[in-house]
Amino acid sequence: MNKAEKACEELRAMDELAAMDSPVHGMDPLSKLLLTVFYIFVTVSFNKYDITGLFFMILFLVVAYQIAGIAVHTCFHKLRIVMPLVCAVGLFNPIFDKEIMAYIGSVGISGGVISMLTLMMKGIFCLMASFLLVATTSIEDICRALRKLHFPKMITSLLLLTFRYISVLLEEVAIMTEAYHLRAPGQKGIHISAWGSFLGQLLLRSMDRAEALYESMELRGFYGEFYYVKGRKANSLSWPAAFVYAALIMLTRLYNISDLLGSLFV
Amino acid sequence: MIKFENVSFSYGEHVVLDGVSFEIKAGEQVGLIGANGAGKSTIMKAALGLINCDGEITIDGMAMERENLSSIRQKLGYVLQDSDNQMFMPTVLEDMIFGPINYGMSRKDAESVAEETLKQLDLEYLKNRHNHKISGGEKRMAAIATILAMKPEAVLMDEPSTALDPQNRRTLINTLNELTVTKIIASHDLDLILDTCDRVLLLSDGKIAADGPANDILYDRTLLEGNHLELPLCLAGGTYKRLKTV
Amino acid sequence: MHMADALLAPAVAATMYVASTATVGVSIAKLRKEEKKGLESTSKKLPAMAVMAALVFAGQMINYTIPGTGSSGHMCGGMMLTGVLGPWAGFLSMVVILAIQCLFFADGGLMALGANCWNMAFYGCFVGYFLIYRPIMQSNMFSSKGINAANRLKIVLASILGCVITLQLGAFSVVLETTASGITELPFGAFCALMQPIHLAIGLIEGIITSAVLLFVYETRPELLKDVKTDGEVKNKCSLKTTIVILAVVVAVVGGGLSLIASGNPDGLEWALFGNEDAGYNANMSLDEDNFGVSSSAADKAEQIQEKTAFLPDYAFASDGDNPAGTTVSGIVGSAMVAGVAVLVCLAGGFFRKKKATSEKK
Repeated sequence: MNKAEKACEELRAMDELAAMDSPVHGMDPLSKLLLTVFYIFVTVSFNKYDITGLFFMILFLVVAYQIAGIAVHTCFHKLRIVMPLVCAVGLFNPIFDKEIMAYIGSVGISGGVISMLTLMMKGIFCLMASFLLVATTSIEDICRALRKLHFPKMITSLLLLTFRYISVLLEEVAIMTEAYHLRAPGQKGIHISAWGSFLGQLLLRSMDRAEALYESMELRGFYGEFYYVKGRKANSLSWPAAFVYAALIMLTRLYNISDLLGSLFV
Repeated sequence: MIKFENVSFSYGEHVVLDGVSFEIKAGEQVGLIGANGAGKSTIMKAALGLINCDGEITIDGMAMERENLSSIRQKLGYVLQDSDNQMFMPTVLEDMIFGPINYGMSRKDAESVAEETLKQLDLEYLKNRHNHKISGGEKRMAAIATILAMKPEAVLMDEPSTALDPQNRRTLINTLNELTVTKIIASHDLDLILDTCDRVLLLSDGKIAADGPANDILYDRTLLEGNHLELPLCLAGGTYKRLKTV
Repeated sequence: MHMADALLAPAVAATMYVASTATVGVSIAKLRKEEKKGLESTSKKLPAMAVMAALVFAGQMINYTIPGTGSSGHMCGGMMLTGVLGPWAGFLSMVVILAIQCLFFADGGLMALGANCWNMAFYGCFVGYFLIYRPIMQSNMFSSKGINAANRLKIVLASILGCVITLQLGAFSVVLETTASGITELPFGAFCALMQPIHLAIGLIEGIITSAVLLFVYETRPELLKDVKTDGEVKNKCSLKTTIVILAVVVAVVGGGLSLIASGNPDGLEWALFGNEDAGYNANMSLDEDNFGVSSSAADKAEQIQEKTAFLPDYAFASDGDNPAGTTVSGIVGSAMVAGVAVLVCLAGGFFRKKKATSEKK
C-alpha cells in the first residue's frame, strides 16, 4: 500500500468512526468543539513540573472515549506524526535542567526529566482530545459549528469543497504511484527526472477538473452560495453536559486531585 | 427546441466546429456520435453557452445572449462525463437541492423535489450518503438525479455509460428510456445509442457527416467505418474481429 | 514543521491565532475586492482553490527520491499554490489544507493551528510571493538569454530562493514560538542551530521539486502562471540589482532586528526562556501581546498580573524546596490510583462494546 492509499484508508476509518452512534456523537457539534478547545487550553496551561496534576486529565479523555464507544488505542497510530518534534524538543530538558526535584526510593529525578514527561503527556492528551472530536463529529458538523461562530462562509465552503476532492485526488495519486512503480521496480520514490512531470501532469488535470467543476456549478445557477442540509438533531443535554465537564476540568486545573487523592492514604 | 445555424468554433488555429447546422425538436432522443475530437462535447458546451461560437444558436426560441443565459441553462440539464466533477457537495441530497435553490425554489420544495426524483429513479437509499463514499455506478445515477431534480426540458449527457458495469449500464439505459424529456446523448457506446435514441447526428472533423434515424445510420457499416467508428456490437453479431474475417 | 499543541503556551497560541485570523480576513477582503474590480470572480476561483488545495494535500503523499542519498523528500506546496492561484487565494487554500491535516491526520494540533498557518502559509504565500517570486518574475534578469530561457531560469531561481527563505523563516518562528512558550530548556541559540540547517536542506529539496513542477506547467500551459510574462513584455519594474537590494534589506531587517532583540535585551530573552513558566500559563490574556516574550518590563508586568490573578496554587515540586518528597509521594500514589481508574474505565468500556457486538450478532 503506498502513502496515498494509506491516507485514503485513514480518511475512511475516520468517516466510519464519525458515522457511529453514541451520546458523544449526538452532542451539539459547537459544544463539542468548544469543550475540546477548552480541554486543550487547560492541558497545555499546566505547569511544566506539575506532572501529577496533569496526569489526572487523562481520566476525562478515557471516560469520554468509553462513552463514545471508541477504544482508546484507536488514536495511537496518529501519534507518530506529531510526537517526533515534541519528543525532540523535550529530550533536551533533562540535559539542561539537572536539579533534583524528587526521589523515588533513592533514585533522584531531575526537573528536566519531569518537564520532559509532562511535555510528552501534554502532546498525547491534546492529540487524544482532538482525535475524539473528529472521531465523533463529521466535517460538515464541524463547519456548521464554525458558521455558528461566524467564521466566513468562504472558508467553510472551501473546507468542504477541498475535503470532497481530497479523496478524489488521493486516489489519482495512488494510481499514478502504482503505475510508476510497476514500471520502475526497486525505486523507492519518484526519480528526479520525473519530479516535474509527475505532479505537473496531475496539476494540469486538476486545473481542468476545476474548470469542469465551475461549469457544473455555473450551469446550476451558482452565485456564491452553498446550501447544506441541517445535521442530525443535537441531544438537548449536550450543553449542560459540556458545562459540567468543563467545570470538572477547571477543578482539576485548580486543585491537584491526584495529590489530594494520594494524601488520603499516605 | 435546440437550433444550430452555421455554428463554428475554433481554439486558435484548431477548428473544432465548422459550420454546423441542425435542429432538435422537443421530445426527440438524439445520439451524438463521432470519433475522438470530432466535436461532440463542444456542441454540448455551445448549446449551454459555456463557449462563445460564431453563428446562431437558439434554444426554445431564445437567442444565445447574455440576458437569456440563465433561462436557457434552466431548460437544459448537463450531465458531465466525470461525475466527481458534478457532485461537489458533501452528500447526494445537498447536491440535488443545489440547482433548484439557486434557480429560486424554496428550500422545502427543493428537498421534496429531490426526494421525489430519487424515488422515481429507485435511489432513495442514496439520499444521505456521502458523495466521496458511493460507488462509481451510484455516483453516475446520482449525477443524473441531480440534473433531473432541476426539471429540465432537455437533458444533455456526455458519455453516460463510461466506467459502468454491464448491469449498471442496463439500469442506466432503462432509466433513460423511461425519461420523456428531450435527450441528447454523446457517446462512443453505439449500442447504448441504438437502445436509447431514435435519431443520430454523426460528426466528423467538426462537420455533420450524417443526420437521420438511428436505424439507418447505425446499420450503415460503410458510413460508420468511414468515420472511424464501427457497427454496434449487437448488430455485428458476435465479436467484430470474427465478422471482419468472414 | 507542524507544531503540536504541547509546544505552545496558550497565550502564544492565541496570539498566533489572532495574527493568522487577521490574515485570513485580509485575504478574503482582497479576493472580494478583485472580484469587484471584475478581475476574476470568487465563485470561479473557489473550485480552483479547492482542487489545488486537495492536489497539494495529495501531492504530499508522493515520495521523491533524492539522488545519491537514498532518502526521500516531499513538498509543502505554499510556493506552488501561490504561483498558480496568487498569494491571497493561495494562503486561504493553505489554511484549509492545514486545518484538514490537523483534524483528520493529527498533523499539528488544533490549538497550534494559528501558529502553523503563520509558520507555513503566511511566509510561503506572502513573503515568498511579494518579496521573492514576483520581483524575480518581473525583473529583466537573464534577459540576454532570450525570453524562454530567462523565464525558465527565473522560475528555478524564484522557487528555490522562495522555498529556502520561507522555510527558514518558518523554522525560526517555530523556535521563537516554542521558546516564548517556555516549553524547552534548550537555549535559544542551540535550538536555532538545530532547526535552521535541517530546514535549509528541506527547503532546497522542496525548492527543486517546486521549480520542476512550475517548469513543467510553464512548458505545457504557461497561461496558468499569471506572473510569468511570455510575450516578452517584461515590465521593467525592477532589475536584478533592485531585487537583490530588496532581498538584502529584508534579510538584514529580519535577521538584524531579531539578533538585536536577542543580544541587546538579554533579560527579555532570559525571561522568555526560563522565567515565564507561570506567566505563559493559566491563559493569561491580559499580557501585552505585542511585547510578549520580548521586553523585560512586560515580563515584570506579567509577573505582577500573574501574582494577582493566579488562580492556581503552585504545585511545582521545585517550590516545595524543603520537603519535595512529601508532595511527591502522595502525588505519585494519587496518580497511580488515577491510572488504575483509567485502566478500569477502559476495560469496562471494552467489555460493553464486546457485549454490544455479540448481542448485535445474535
